[in-house]
Amino acid sequence: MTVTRKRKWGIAGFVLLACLACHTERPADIPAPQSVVPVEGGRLVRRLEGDVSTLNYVKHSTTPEKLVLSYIHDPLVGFDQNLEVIPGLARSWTVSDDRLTWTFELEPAATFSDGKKVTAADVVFTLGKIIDPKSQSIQLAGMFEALDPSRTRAVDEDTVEVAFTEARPAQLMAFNMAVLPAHVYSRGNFATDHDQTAVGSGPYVFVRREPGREILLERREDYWRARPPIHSILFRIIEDRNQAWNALRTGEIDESAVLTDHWLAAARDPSMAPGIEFHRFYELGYNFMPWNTRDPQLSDPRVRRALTMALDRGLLIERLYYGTARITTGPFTPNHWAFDPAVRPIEFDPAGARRLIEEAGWRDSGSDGLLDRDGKPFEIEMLLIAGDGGSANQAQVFQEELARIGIRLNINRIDAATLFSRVLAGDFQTTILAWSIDLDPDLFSLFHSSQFPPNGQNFVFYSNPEADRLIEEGRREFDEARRRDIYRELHRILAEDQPYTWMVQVSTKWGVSERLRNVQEAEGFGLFGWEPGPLQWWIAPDTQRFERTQTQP
Amino acid sequence: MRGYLTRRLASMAVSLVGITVVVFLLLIQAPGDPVTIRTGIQRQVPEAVLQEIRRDLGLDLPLPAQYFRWLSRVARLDLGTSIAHRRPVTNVAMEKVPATLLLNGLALFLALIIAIPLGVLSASWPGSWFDRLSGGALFALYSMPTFWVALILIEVFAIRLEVLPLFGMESARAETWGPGARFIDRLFHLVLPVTALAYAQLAFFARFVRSSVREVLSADYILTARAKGAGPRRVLWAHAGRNALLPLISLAGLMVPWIISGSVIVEQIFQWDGIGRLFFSAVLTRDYPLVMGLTLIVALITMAGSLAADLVYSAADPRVRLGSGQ
Repeated sequence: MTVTRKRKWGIAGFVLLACLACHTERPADIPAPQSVVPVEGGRLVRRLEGDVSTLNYVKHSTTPEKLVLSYIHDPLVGFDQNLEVIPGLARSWTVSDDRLTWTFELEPAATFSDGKKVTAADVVFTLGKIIDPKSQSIQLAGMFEALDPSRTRAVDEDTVEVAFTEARPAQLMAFNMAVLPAHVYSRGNFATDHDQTAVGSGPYVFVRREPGREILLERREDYWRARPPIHSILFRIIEDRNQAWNALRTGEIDESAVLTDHWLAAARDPSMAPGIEFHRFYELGYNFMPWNTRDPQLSDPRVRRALTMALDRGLLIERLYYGTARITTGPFTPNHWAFDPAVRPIEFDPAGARRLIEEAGWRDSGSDGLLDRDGKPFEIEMLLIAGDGGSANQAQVFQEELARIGIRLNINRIDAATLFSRVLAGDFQTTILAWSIDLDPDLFSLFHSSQFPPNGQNFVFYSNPEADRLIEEGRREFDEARRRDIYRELHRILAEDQPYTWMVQVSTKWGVSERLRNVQEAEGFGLFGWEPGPLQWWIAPDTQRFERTQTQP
Repeated sequence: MRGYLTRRLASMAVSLVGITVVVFLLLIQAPGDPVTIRTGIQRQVPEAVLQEIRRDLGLDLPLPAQYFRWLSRVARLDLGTSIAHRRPVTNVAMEKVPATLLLNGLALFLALIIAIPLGVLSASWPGSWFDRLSGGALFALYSMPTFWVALILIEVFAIRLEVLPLFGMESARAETWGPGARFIDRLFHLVLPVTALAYAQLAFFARFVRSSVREVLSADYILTARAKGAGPRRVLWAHAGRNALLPLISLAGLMVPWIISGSVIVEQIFQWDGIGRLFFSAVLTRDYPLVMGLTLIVALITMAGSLAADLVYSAADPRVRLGSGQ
């Protein structure tokens, strides 16, 4: 008896057609194969990279929580495949001339899974819970700090007015938020009584959860919009990426993010991962080494620039990512509108790096191959998360390269909690981190001089009056063209000052079982986070191996 | 006997408090707090929200107050609420006990029933080909690291041969099956983790039994038994065996906490959802109440196990009398 082995099915010809889009990086250019009609039914088994600790949307804070909740709740507004804002629960909206008051018209047909209508009062209720500190809304409270609750009100059943004390150009994106049914969530203690289950207006309903193991959702038959094809979604919690890779290969799960090494192994030998289609795309994010500019060794921009010159990013991309990454030059990635293509990458140039550092007063006075100044050798401590193989490889490459120009890089491996608290407190010299960036390019908390620890995340203590001015302007500018110019100017200044060494943007690799059809990507978002996104996936009828289970509501 | 028990229980209580104080201090002193873990380095979280989280977790209190708040709850048999799971620590921990008990109990049981005959047999023919072969094989087993063996087992049986499941406690669609199929499914899932846990213990126990039997076999009373005309089999199993297995009682007592506290490595690799995995993630996420609760439970069981072993030992070995003088 084989317990977990999946049945391997032959592939029909039309299936190959449907998967033409799977390997391309810009599927938007390819017309969707219209000849293939989605088939209903089946169970999708998704990988969850960690357990959820709450299913209360307002309190959610982790990626797995967000992922599960995205099936249960419809947002007020969503994003389409081109990352444009599109209607969700709100079918239309207007903003006042002073840009302080937003008025949303709700879809009258929208209902929660208990049959009750989604009303303006539910929106007001949800916003009230988001800004109440007692809800501990880590993800959402920051986007509604300027909300004016006294002027936020339900005009009628389907019309809601949301008022702010400050106008922000990106405010509309914050409404990519769920609406909770007030008649459910006003019962009991909001902060403690709604962690174990969820009621929303989305296409799936919560069925059951086994902590640490799995979560089951089932399709709502009375969904107020077109129902998605797939009947049920089982999330299996698999934290380890090697285990997820194995589970993907044996058919235990239908999709998972894939490490570059695994992706390469499968690219070289397709029998490593039979029945798996691979998607590769760039999301909004990059790897970087922050330099603590308060450190006397690192305060000189010439030195930071030299450190970037010493890093052979081309080698990094070739050796560690097999060409599936690209160099980044500043705080925005090439697939973001704020990115300035005129900023050239700093070239790999060890000799030039050495000259720049010597200009800053460092000499090899002991003739021991190590640079020193005032009797102190040039030594940098790099904190890394123990067990994080990716950053360890990058660090090792950098360590060798720095040694050649006379700088010693000491790698100190510590646990994640320690690393985060030290970095956030500004108690470090450098480390390797990755930011995932928002659609809104605001850099206030990262680089404004008012945001030094503990106020914000400017943990490199970067301070430049010109950058401060532009950051403030960018937050107030509503004209799209002028706003783009502001951020491109900021991109140039930051690339000049190098508070970070912007390293690379690594493409995301995703393995998806070929029994799934119509899996499409969005530039910058990849497979998820846009509509219809995963809601348009369907399962080939001959591979719908999971019977729909009878479960109590 | 009663005096002995009272003294043991009193010293256990003192040790327990001591252990929890030390663990509490270690936890608090370790950099990083549950708030950082919960918020991560991601986006701007309003200060009011951070303060509310700290207040909610009791992190705004001075250290001694935090500890005594915890202790007073424990006195009322309340281990508090897990930060990561947002449910009572007792529930979170108790849910994981059966899985660990099953896995480790089975591994220990299998290791013992194979190790005892193996050890006794090699002891009875020291230097024979059987003794040398089993000795060599057992040392080889004992020296292989668990994580490595576990990965090899996965690669061979789960990935290449595809005869056993990769990890987890049951198949994805097991909930739709009948009890018989689920039972078999569970057995299939147990094979690899139990093997990974049992092989090293098996080696250890077999060598332990062998040396213990060897020691007893050289005792004078065995010579007496032989002189009385007892056959080799009777000498081995009836005279030597019983005495030689006495030290195993103490050893088994010390194994009790292990059966419950779980093996972090094996549970992690096979995603066996037991106490070991829970403890590991609790430490990484700085889930103070959960770490403290699990520490308390494991410490309690360790002490109870060693007490029970001493009591059973004294019952089994008439030469040992607890609480008499000394």
